[in-house]
Amino acid sequence: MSFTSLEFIGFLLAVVVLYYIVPKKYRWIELLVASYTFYLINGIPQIAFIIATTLITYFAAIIMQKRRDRYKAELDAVRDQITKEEKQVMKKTANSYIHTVQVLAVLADLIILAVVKYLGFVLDNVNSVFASFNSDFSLTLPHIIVPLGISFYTFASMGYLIDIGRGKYNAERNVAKLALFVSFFPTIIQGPICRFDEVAPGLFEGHELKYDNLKFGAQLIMWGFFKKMVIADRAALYVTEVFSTGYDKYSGTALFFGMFMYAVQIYGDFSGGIDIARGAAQMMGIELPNNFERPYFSQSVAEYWRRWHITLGAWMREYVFFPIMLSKPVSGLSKKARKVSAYLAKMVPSVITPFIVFILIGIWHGASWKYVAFGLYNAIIVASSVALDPVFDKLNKLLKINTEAFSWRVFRIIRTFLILGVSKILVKAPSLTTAIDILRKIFTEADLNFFKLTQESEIFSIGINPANMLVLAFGVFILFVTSCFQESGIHIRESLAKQNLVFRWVIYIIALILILVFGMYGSAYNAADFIYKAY
Amino acid sequence: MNKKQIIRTVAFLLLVGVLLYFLCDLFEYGNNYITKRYKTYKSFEENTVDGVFIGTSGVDRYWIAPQAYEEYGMTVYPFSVDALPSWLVIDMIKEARKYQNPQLIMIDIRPFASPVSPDKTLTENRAKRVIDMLDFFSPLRIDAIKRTDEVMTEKYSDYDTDIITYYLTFINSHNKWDSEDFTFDDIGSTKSTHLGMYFVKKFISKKKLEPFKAYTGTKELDPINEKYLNELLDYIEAEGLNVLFIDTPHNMKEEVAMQSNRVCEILNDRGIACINYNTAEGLAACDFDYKNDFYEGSHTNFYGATKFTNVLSKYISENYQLPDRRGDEACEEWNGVYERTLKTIKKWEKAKAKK
Repeated sequence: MSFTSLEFIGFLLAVVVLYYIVPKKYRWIELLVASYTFYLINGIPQIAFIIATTLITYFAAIIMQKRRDRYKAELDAVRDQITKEEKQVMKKTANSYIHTVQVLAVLADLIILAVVKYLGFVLDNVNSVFASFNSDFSLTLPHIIVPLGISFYTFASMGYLIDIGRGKYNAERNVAKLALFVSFFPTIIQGPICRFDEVAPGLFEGHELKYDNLKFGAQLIMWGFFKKMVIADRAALYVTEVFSTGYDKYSGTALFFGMFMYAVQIYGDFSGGIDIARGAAQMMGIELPNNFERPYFSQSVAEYWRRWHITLGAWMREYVFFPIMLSKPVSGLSKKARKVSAYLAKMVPSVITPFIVFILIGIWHGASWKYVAFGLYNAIIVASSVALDPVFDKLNKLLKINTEAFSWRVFRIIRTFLILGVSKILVKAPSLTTAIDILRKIFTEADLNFFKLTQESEIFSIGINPANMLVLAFGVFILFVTSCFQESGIHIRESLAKQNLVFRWVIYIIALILILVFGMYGSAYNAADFIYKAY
Repeated sequence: MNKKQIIRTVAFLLLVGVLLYFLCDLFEYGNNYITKRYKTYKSFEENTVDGVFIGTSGVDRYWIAPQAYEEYGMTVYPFSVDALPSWLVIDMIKEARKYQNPQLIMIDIRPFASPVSPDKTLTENRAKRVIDMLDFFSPLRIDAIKRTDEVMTEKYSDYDTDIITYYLTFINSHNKWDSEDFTFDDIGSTKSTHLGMYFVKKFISKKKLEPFKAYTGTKELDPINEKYLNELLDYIEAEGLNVLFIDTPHNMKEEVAMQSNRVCEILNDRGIACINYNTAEGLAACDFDYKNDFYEGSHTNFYGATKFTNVLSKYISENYQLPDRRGDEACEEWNGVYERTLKTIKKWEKAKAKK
């Protein structure tokens, strides 16, 4: 059931209505039933995976919690009777046990994800190695349909387990409540990746019916529909064609424009889906974290990853980046580097860690070498910008560049966008070799005639006609203007709420007309599934 | 939520409902001339239309209502939809009878003689022309949707259209904004200016054809067509309607011609009047000039339609007692239409000659 389908709209309306009918203390149960119903509609066999992950996570968390509670109780009983060293031994024993359970449970969740999503890729590569030695030996895997949202709910579960392991909060005793956290239907298709302590109170507490929640939630959903159906799915017409296996018949400029269109498509698609998820949750008074903060306004790749897929970046920072940075091996390496220079000591963890994080981010996106290359590329950019930061500082001073100037900011935004464009080609191209070839063509086969806007121009012969290109340009313009307002700190929905009724209704009706008339849906189009649904 | 907020929400939802209704009207599937034809029919005063000709484009490209009125004073209206599916003929008749009390109902045989297409999208779109034409809240529209859904489910194993897309037509037709069919000119416009006849410039173009073959022999009908033909005949008998089935002359494959013959056979067995103009006698009666009387194999042009209307209106005048409505104040809007039609035709001919 796609977010932009009539079925989902009907489903959501039913869930929201029922939510407010059901007595407050049982509303979380209604959400759990709705979430599992949603999951079942999307595929019955795959439900075994989410149940398995939920149960592993639940029991492991309970075991860790019980061990921690026992440790605290034992310590309280003998606190005045034992030495400091004995207390440390008690703590170390408890922590070791908890840590072991945490690691095993996280591994178990990861193994489920790895088998479903990555084993095929691994086997393909193993078979390729055997084939290169002219061996007939080959391993096969039965076809497994990747369960809906497995990457998202697995990460959410692992984050929960690590938090429990750290003693950040107590484990949830009610398995059904944990099941709701893992399976909450607005987040299951493409996130955001939620932290238990951030969303649980909102999920489990029954909320009062508030007009503002319904209104703002519906507005956010509409905005998500606009981004997805008017912008993203329209840009997809061009992108699908130009990045197909027939890409070599297009000029380098056409492919470069395809990079731009893909950037528009992926942002509209992903952020649109998140808006719909957050809007749906908001209608029931539940707040989900934001996942995008106008990422194309970023002035560096590092900043981009703080604005794009924010919850994944935050998860990586919390559970991968900082633990690695502070780990003994990395700290040890840094200490050794200090013998050479203080600068190197600072750089070692700042350079090594991004490589690990971004390769993981790349692999998270998919089981293919192109995603590994995507991760490596981003790692190189981020690591080198950290390492070369003092050099750039000196260069700016030497060239007397005013780094506070608006023009400098625009330059950095465009530069960052172009740098990221390369990584987008790595993701979108059918394979790594194709991506490399596309990049070669972009740099060597420019054709400025591409932008001559006549009926015969190449730009209008690649999947999208002039009328649709005009609609797309208009949609992107609206998105850009809205983003500029938001970037300057203006909250659009709240600002709109302060306007007069007639003005507001005119805006809402115009928005609705734009979606209903220009949206890419219905049998007239094959509207693209949400891209991140496959993750 | 307080009372004010509830009222506002309800008011906004009503506004959205009006918007959806407007969008359905704007983005109806069928061509605008079909809706105009229908709305014109609805606008006639009660008991002023004495005959209706129900069917496909084999009706409005053949029957020139203003000509028949001019010559005989008969008010026989072409109540037709392009490629009308067999299962919706009965709904068209019921719809026609809602607004008028026609003494004669002529029914095009083509819906029952042409097998249902294996292309499900084509079949669905043909049904949508009728569904989108009918009034939004009409019970017959709901009936047409249900029938279509049943037929599609029976015929196509991969049929997966959401039934709501029939009710909210813009869901599948909103992409019309990008096509030549889309025009704001027809919003609010109700009139077909030439009493429902097909009236576009293409109607004077000519295509040279080989003389049509008259096939004898019969072939079993498509089961769906046979089912709905029998249902229609039961309805006609139950209601005691005065009907005349007609197969207008056109170029057909032998298989279709034989099914047309089979329809006539069924009608004859049930004692229902039928004229097949695709027989040797029928074609001879029309006396077509195959160089000048058709704009394509399936349809006459204006010149061929003039001949056909002559033949059929003469037949009607000799065999049915339809009143002469000339001079009837209630039929004022039928007056002068034929003259106007001929003037426009002359203008088109002049313009064409200049090119």
